Amino acid sequence: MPVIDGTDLRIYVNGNPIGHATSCTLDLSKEIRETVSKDNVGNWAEKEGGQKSATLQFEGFVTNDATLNSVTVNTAEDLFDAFDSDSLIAFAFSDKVSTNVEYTGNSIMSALSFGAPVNENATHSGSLEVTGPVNKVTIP
Amino acid sequence: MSVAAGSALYHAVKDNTDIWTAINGSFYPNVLPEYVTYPAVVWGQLTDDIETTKDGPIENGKLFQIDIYAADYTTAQNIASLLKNKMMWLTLDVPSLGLCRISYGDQGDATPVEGKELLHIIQDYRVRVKAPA
Repeated sequence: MPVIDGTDLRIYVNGNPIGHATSCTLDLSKEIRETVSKDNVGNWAEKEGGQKSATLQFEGFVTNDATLNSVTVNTAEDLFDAFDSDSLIAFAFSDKVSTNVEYTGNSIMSALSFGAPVNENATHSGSLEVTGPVNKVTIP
Repeated sequence: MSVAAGSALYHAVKDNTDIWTAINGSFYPNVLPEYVTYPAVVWGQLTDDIETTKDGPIENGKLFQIDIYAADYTTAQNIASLLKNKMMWLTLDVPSLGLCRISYGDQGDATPVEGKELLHIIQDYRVRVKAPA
């Protein structure tokens, strides 16, 4: 089975991919706590897993086109609306290939940035903080 | 598409009486014709600045080079100044292309043309189509 092309893995916000995205990441982390007891008298620390959390980050070019390659996408305006909203944002980190696995859940957009350099394409970047679990789902 | 984007340069030069008079209409795409009166100016595309996204490639403008040929350095410099002053930062509506912006990039002296005793100045410009027609 070939390695998945990063081009195909995308962040879907409320069901649609972010338009003209150039990069996206899903960061998962887990707090680790050290367990010390009177029965643990050795020199080696013992640890247990604690709370898990996740963050998604994205970068791309600003577009006002709501449809790219016949696919409905999130525009810069949609991203702002998602940021401005108090509602939870459904996300998917997926290549949308049947039988592959995607990661889904709910999130809050914690950061959104627009960049506009002279004589270059305008860019955006942002972060989604996951609230609740990240679900591993097989794509139907 | 490159010729189309280059037509922005053509219109910018053609529509400026001072420049057009200074070069006596000798403004050519890509190649300097063998039998031509000097001074003469040639424009050609250097690169197509493309950025890749998850939705496919998008344009970030096209880079063009303008070559100025003249029998003496003063004439070549004068034409270079006229071109630079006109296209330093120019927004214009080009027929069948749309709203374009031309911006000046750089200028340098090139090696004189061997056998023709011609002075040669090179300039770089970027052309961006802001709103396609």
